[in-house]
Amino acid sequence: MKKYLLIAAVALPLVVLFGMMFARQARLSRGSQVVLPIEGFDPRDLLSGHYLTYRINYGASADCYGGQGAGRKLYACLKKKSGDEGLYRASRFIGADDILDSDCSLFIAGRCENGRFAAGVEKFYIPEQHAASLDKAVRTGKGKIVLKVSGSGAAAIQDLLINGKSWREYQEQ
Amino acid sequence: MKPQKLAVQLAEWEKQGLITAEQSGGIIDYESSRRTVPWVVYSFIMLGVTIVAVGIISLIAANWSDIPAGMKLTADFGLLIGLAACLCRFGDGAKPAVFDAVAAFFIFLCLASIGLISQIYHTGGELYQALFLWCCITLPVTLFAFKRFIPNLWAAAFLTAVIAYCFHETRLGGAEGVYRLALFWSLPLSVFLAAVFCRRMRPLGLLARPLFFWSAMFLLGATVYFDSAHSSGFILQHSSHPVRLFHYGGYGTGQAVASATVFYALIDVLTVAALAAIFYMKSLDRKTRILLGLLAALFCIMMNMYGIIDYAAYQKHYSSYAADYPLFLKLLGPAVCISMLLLLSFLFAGLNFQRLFNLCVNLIGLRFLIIYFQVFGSLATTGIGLIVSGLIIIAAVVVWYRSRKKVQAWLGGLLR
Repeated sequence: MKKYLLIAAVALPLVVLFGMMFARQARLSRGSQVVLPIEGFDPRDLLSGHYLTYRINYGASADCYGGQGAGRKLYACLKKKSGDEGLYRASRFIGADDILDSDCSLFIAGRCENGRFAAGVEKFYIPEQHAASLDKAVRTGKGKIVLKVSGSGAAAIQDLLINGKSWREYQEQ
Repeated sequence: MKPQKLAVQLAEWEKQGLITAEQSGGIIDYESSRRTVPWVVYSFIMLGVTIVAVGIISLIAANWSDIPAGMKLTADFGLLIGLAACLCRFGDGAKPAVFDAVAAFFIFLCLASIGLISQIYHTGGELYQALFLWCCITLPVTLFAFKRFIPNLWAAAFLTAVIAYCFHETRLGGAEGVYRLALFWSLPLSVFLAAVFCRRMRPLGLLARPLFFWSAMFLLGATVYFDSAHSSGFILQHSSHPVRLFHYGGYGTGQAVASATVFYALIDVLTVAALAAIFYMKSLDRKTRILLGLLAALFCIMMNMYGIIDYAAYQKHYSSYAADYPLFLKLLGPAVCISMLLLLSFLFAGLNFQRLFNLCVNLIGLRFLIIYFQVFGSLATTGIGLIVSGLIIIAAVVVWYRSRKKVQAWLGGLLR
């Protein structure tokens, strides 16, 4: 009995970690692609290394000011901007209660955190040696983030664009 | 006990006629047969495993972008599966130190895997989320550990996750922020209750000891905070009041009042729960239960003092050297701190934790010294004050020693 319990205990982390990886991969494979402009800087964390953190320029601001807004669930309704390299912008932010009744077909789900809308896609992990140059490029407004967005509004990061190219190509130049 | 020390002890008992030569030989044979890995070797093995694991986490964090993501994930899961197989191989308990070392490595690698997945898929979560996930998925393996390193590691990681959650957003405004702040200040009680729960739930028993330890540490931390905030005068600035820490809503706003209500209600409810739990911990002796109850009650009183004292009635101070800083507030901090340390030292003495008892006694002495520098300042008054305090302590100990049986009988009667 104890042996089977041990096998179950050891299998649990493997199953959860594999499930986590699989869910992320599935989101990347199936979602709709959107490109959004970003502005940001480069810190690092102890677990996953250097990352760029940025503020996504949705083109509209969510009502996240004041203490009551903290943690509130919101949806950024996205519309493709005409004639601007296929960029998307948020036409408006909709509350969790109103999203089903709205005419919005493409949206990102997020929450109010530290006074602004955050969708869990505000970090892009990069190799240490490219951190300074990518940080500079993003700071000067050359960065855009490519996301895949599922039907429920869950977003996953696909790529970071600098001057319209993937960051890897940009670094190779 | 070391083999040489045991042999000397047995020889002494044999000489005194307490045991026979056969019994002495039997004890030596028994102790030799059950000898396990010495704790020093075990500790160094765990230190080595920890350093290797931190190295792997650091390697992963370096983000080797030239290696395809699929290859990195395959290598990571391959290593995890290999370690899982080793754990099943050593699960019979024949080599407990090896099992613990492999389990520790497996647990650390789970954390590294969370970091790797986060890096590859840019998941962008908070540190507390990664730590909570790590604690959840590794709890079952932790419960199979043979020695204390892994349960201690798990408890420390879990409590770090709780604290990181409490402060993950520096603006603690809004309904959620109020609860997070209240949760943080109730940690001595909530961790104590968690420890009692683990003690009663047999599979979680390994976690009880580290949780009791951290509960005592949080209690000391809250006491030191109370003491320093009051004795230094910082409490008369808004930011040092526990319900207003990082509270951008400011003094007297609706949110601050809501925070205070939740804060005091949670502390009071948890104190009642802790007292009830202590009362029903029949496996502990009465003296220990009384001391635990007194500690919980004193903590509750200390935290409620933040609400009872009308700080707004005092003149605001932005310097701890203000001469007219009220003597009542100057002395309240040390009085609470010394009382708490005294109760803790009695508790540790009762539990036979000599080192922790000595630590508390030394801290009491240090606090007495600091009081006189804080309150009186000059060397002459400090000297007289310390002599008087020392004499009072000696007199109290003598009185206690002479009448301890009566006091113990009286204290014991309370729980009958």
